[in-house]
Amino acid sequence: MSKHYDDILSLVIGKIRSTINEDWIQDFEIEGETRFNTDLEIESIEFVKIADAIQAHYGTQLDIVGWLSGKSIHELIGLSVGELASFIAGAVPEQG
Amino acid sequence: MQMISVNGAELSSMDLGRDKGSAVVMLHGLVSGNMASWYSSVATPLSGERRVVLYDQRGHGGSSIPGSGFDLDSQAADLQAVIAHHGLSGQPVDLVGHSMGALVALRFALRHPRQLRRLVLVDAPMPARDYVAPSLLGVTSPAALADYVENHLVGLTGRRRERLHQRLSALFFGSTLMRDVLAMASEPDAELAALDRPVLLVYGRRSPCLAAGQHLLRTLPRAQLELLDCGHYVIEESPAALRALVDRFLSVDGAPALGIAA
Repeated sequence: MSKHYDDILSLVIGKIRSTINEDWIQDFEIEGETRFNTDLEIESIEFVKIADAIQAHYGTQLDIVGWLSGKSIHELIGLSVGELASFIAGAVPEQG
Repeated sequence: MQMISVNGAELSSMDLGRDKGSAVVMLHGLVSGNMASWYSSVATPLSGERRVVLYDQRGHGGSSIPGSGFDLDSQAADLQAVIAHHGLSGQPVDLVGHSMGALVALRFALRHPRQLRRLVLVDAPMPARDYVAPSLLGVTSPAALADYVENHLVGLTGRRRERLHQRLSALFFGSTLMRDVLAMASEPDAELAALDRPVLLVYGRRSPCLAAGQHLLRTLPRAQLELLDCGHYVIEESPAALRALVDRFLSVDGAPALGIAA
């Protein structure tokens, strides 16, 4: 995986930890393969907050709302952290 | 994500498609509902053409769990505060509500018709004291709540189940929610008959609340009823069909209904 992807994966993991903001998530080992549903057991509202925090970070560089649009919340919760990071890596230009 | 201070509570809210013209505020249902109920399946698609405001009603999602204020007048006042917070007080907005959120939207519409353009009521369980209260009435003790969680939240496991259990415990034993729902009667026919705004009623064919939709169709002067092949949880069971109906109804061209009002 590229540095671009790794940087974005780190950012996504940071947003997950700050949004959930409970003791256990700070120590939980989160990787690309970690799934929001089965591994993290996050609530749908928490996924929405994570997506919103990522959107706020990238601003107009990223259209996360457009990407999520029309998917069911269960489909989104079923994603892995790496799948979300891959979408962002493909949408956001690499920093020079 | 923004926090809005209202009477006795902090409400979590978000705004999609901010630069678009007309605005719609979407309200979720009781207990298991929150902004995520509408978010990806309906709200984000609608936000391609219009501004969409979502919020967690008091006691739900990221909002605080206050001890009171679950009656429809208080929740309609919350909605008014949300509308004001987003700078929409000066223009008629569209309201879309599911279940308890539909009852809040309807109460708001009856109290503030000039603030309303179009109204969508999805499986509104009116009166809630008949349709909603019975499922809650047996939950009178922590043991009964444990049974309720066991029987009604079948799909939820682990952390999510535990968190909803804690929320229900706070709502049922630490707030007036139950009492407030038990006091929710039907809106008076005369007030419904005076609501001169287009209303779309969407009900599930298999919903236990269907008779409420038929009553609203007979009583509201400008209502239309659409039935979808599902039960009460229309957003989860028929998202694509619901999205298409709401989009079409809100996209109807023409001036906001404000000028038509007496």
